[in-house]
Amino acid sequence: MRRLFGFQARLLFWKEIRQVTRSPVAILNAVALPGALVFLAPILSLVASVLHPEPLHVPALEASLPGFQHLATMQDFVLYVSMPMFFVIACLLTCALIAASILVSERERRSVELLAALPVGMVEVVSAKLLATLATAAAMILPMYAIDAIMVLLLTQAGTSYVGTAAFMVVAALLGATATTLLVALTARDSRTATYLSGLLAVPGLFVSSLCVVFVPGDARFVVLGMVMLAMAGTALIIGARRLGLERYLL
Amino acid sequence: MATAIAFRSVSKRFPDGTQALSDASWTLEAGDHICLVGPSGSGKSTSVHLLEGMLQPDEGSILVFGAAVGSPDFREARRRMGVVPQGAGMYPDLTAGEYLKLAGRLYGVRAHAAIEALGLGEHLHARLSLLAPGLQRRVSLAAAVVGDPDILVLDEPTFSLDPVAAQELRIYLRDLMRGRTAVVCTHNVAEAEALAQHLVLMRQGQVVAQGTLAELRRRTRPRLRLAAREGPDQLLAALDRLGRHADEEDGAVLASVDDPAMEAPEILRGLLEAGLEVYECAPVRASLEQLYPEELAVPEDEG
Repeated sequence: MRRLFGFQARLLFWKEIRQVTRSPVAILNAVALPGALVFLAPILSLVASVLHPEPLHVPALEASLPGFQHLATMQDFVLYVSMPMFFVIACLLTCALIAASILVSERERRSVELLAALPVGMVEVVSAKLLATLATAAAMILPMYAIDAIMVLLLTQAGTSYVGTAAFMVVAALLGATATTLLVALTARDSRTATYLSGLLAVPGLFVSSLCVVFVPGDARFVVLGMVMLAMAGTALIIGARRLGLERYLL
Repeated sequence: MATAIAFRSVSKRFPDGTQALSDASWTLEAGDHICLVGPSGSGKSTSVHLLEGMLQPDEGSILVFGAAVGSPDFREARRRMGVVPQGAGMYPDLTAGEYLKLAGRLYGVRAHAAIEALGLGEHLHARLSLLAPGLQRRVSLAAAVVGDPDILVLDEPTFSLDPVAAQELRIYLRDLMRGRTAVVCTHNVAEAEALAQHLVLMRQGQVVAQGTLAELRRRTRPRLRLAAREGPDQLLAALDRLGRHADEEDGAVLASVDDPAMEAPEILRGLLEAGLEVYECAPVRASLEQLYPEELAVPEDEG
């Protein structure tokens, strides 16, 4: 653990941040997707649900599912179905796009050899990159989520419980998505393969998220979804570091 | 003299199944220069990555100043080592100065001395990927010596450089290697001959021979270089009649002998008596260039 956040890892972390902030493509990726999914779509949906309050007509079969039982209005649908899915998709894809700049491109252009030549270990190199991916994604997504949270508190009856549990889920999704990028970086030698793999690895996350939305009622879905995302993070890190091995990043 | 680096029966297999190193052993005394010579895929760069501590051996051990790679002590030993990687990709979004500053901070020193020693002062604000290849290699070299290391590890230092840039870099290398222990990896035998006293010849992950250049030369059979006005074909035919094995090379003929001093007069007499106008007859000392294919030639069935 000391090596993950030690002096060397911190130096490498700031190197990564400096490089990301100089890459227009990385910045665009980091801003555009969360801007659409975490900012624009939820805010517009919330405002629309306030301006046009309509009851929700849920078909009988779907209404019997725990996740849909208490959804009475379109606003409920936005709060408990659309927004969690927007958040999860945004976290998974934003982290994958940022990791393409930080983790995959370094391996692809073989500049990782420049780092290997310095007195650092692979643990520091990879952990600095993962932390930089997480920090960049969090710096974009969390402020946007904060705006969502304020809008939810101002425009709906959802309250602080909703905002707090949803925040937990967003943070957990960021951790899960970042950890998943490790698997991509260790197995994909080029950006194109990384894109395919990222898409492939997002599928189980989205599938499980859908199940949580459908089967877990109320705010509890955010807690369950958050726990699933944390489990995904742990699994990805164990598979990456233990089964695949960080050495792969250099080979 | 203290042992600076010891490879002890080191084996390394990559995840794709490639046996990168197989039971490789060699040692390097402090202050000596050793050269790992071999074609691509012979295990030179893997040896460098193992020395960096970026890869761990599957079997065997690697000691740097007595500290095993991967052990807690190795971190300190690693800081006494500077590495110039082979053909590393360059950052398009980091300047030479920023990379050298990072290297300096990781070694716990300021980078000024290395920047000055390698004449990089006016290139510090240039993005690494935009520098000329020779300058990029000098930046790598500056990062390697920024911490004033006891050991320099140079992986194909002049690889892909044009002859002028390569010669310029060799001048810096000779200067920076003086007084330091050095490991040079190369497939350029002339470079190996120029930079190191001890050689480790590698092929397909195995150490096939090692020793000083003189020791390795002694393993090759002495040869006489012969040339006659009649041309190599008639010379070869005449040598064949004298019961001598010979091969043509660059318009001359190389005849294998056991003792050049004893056998050259007899061969020369025989050729002159056969009517050939021989104008050259000299013993050939096997240079590393000649030793290299003999030691490293891959049999045809191995591809």
